[in-house]
Amino acid sequence: MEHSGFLSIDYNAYGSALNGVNSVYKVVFFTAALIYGIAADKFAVYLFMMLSMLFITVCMGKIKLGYYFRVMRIPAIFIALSIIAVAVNFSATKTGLFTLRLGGINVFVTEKGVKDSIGIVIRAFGALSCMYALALSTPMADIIEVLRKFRLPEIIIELMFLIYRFIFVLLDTLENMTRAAVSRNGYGGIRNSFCSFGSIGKNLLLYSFGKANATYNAMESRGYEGRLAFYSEDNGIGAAEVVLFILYFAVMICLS
Amino acid sequence: MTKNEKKLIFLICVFALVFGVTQTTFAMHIMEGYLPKIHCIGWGVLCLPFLAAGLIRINKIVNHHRRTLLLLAMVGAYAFVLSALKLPSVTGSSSHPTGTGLGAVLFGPSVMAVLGIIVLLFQAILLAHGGLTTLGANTFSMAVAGPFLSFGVYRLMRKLKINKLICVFAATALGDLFTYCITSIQLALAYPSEVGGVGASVVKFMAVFAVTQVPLAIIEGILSVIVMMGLESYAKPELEELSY
Repeated sequence: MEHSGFLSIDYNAYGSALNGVNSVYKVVFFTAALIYGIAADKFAVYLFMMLSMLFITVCMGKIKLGYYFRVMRIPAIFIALSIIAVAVNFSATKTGLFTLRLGGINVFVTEKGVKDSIGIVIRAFGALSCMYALALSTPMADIIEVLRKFRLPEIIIELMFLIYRFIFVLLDTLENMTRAAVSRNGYGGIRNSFCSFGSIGKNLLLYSFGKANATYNAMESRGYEGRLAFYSEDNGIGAAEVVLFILYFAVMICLS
Repeated sequence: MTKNEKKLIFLICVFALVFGVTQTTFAMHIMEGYLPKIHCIGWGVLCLPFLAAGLIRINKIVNHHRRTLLLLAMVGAYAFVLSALKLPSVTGSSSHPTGTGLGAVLFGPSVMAVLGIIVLLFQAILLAHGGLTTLGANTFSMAVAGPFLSFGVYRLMRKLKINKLICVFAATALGDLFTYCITSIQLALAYPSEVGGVGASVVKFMAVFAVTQVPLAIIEGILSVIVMMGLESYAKPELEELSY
C-alpha cells in the first residue's frame, strides 16, 4: 500500500478488470486510437475518444470515477498556463474581445485566441483519456514485455525493467529518509529544507550506487548473462475483441 | 482604486490562485495531446540521431563493464524518483528538478538521451506527466538539448581551469534554463501568436513559465553541487570508473 500514493496509476492498473486482456492487444488498441485521433484532428473524434475511453476505463476496467477525475486533474495546471499564453495577446495599438490597458500596452483576448484555446482543451482531453485508458489497464511490466515483442533493442528493454524495479527500491528508501527528516523538523524553514533536501538527494544517490553493485553481484551469482527473463502470463485475443477493434475504428473513421 | 487597478488586482489574484492552490508536481513536460501531429513527428525524428548515438555508446560501455548497466539503471530510477522529492517550496507550486544535467556531466550527454526517453515514458504512463505523442518533443528539450548544453558548459569551464563545483552549478543551472527555453520555443512554434508571430509567442510562453522555472534552475544548480560534493567524498571509485 505504501506506493499507492505516488505510483497510484500503476497500482490501479494491476487492479483493473481489464488487466487480464492480452497486453499486445491493449497497447496496439490504445496507441492506434491515440495516433489516429491526433492525425485526424477532428472535434467529433476527440469527443468520441473522451467518452469511449471513459466508458472503457470506468465501466469495463472498473476504475473508480472519482479516481479517474483526480488523475485527469494532474495536467490541468499545464493546460491552464498554456492557455493563458495562447489566448492572451500583447500589442500597443490593437484590441480584441476583452482588452486591458496596462501602461502603454494593450493586453487582450481575441476571438481566435478563445477558439484556439477551446480546441487545445478538447484535443488534450481526448488524447489524455486515451493515454490514461492504457495506463490504467496495463501495468508497466506488461508494457515493457510488449515492447520486447516489438523487437526494441534488448539493452533498452533491460534498462527499462531495471529502472522500473529500482524505482520501488528508491521510493521506499526516499520515504524513510523523508519521514526521518520531517520528524526531526528537517523541513522547518527554508535553510533547513535546503539542507535536508540536499542530504536526502545525496544519500539517496550514494545508496543507489551501493544497491546497484549489490544487485549486480546477486544477479551474476545467479547466472545473469544479459537477458532478464520474467514469467509473464497472457491470455489470447478472442473473437469479441477483434470485433470490438474493428467496430471502434470504423466509428472513428466515420467521424473523421 | 481606478477600474484598471481593480482589474490588475483581480489578475494577480488569478495568478496567485493558479500557482498557489495546485499541489501537483510540475516540470516542463508538454502534456499529451498538446502538440499538432506535424510537431509530434518532427521533434521525434530530431531525437533519433541522439538516441542512436546513445545506444551505441551504452552498448560499448556495457560490453566493457556489464556492471555499469546497473549503475545507469539506478541513475534512471533516481531521475524518476527526483520527481517525488519534497522540494523546498519557493514559488508556491512544487516543481521538481530533472537531474539530467548532473547525469550528463557524469555519464556524457548521449547516454542521458536514452535514459531520458525511458524516464519520460515512465513519467507519462506512471505519473501522467508528459505524454506519448509528445514524447519526442519532451525528449528533445529535456534529454537532448539540456544535457548537451550542460555537458558543453561543464567541459568548457573545466578547460578554463574554473573550480569544479562552480562548473557543476553553472552547467546544471544553465542546462535547466536551456530546457525551459527550448520548451517555450516548441510551444510557440505550435501556437504562434496572432500579433507578432512565433517571436511574440516565445516571449509569452517564457513569461508564463518563468515563475516556476527560473527559481527551479537555481535550485537544481545548488542541489547538484551538494550531491556532487557528497559523491566526491563518498563515491570516488565509482566516479573514477565513469571517468568523471
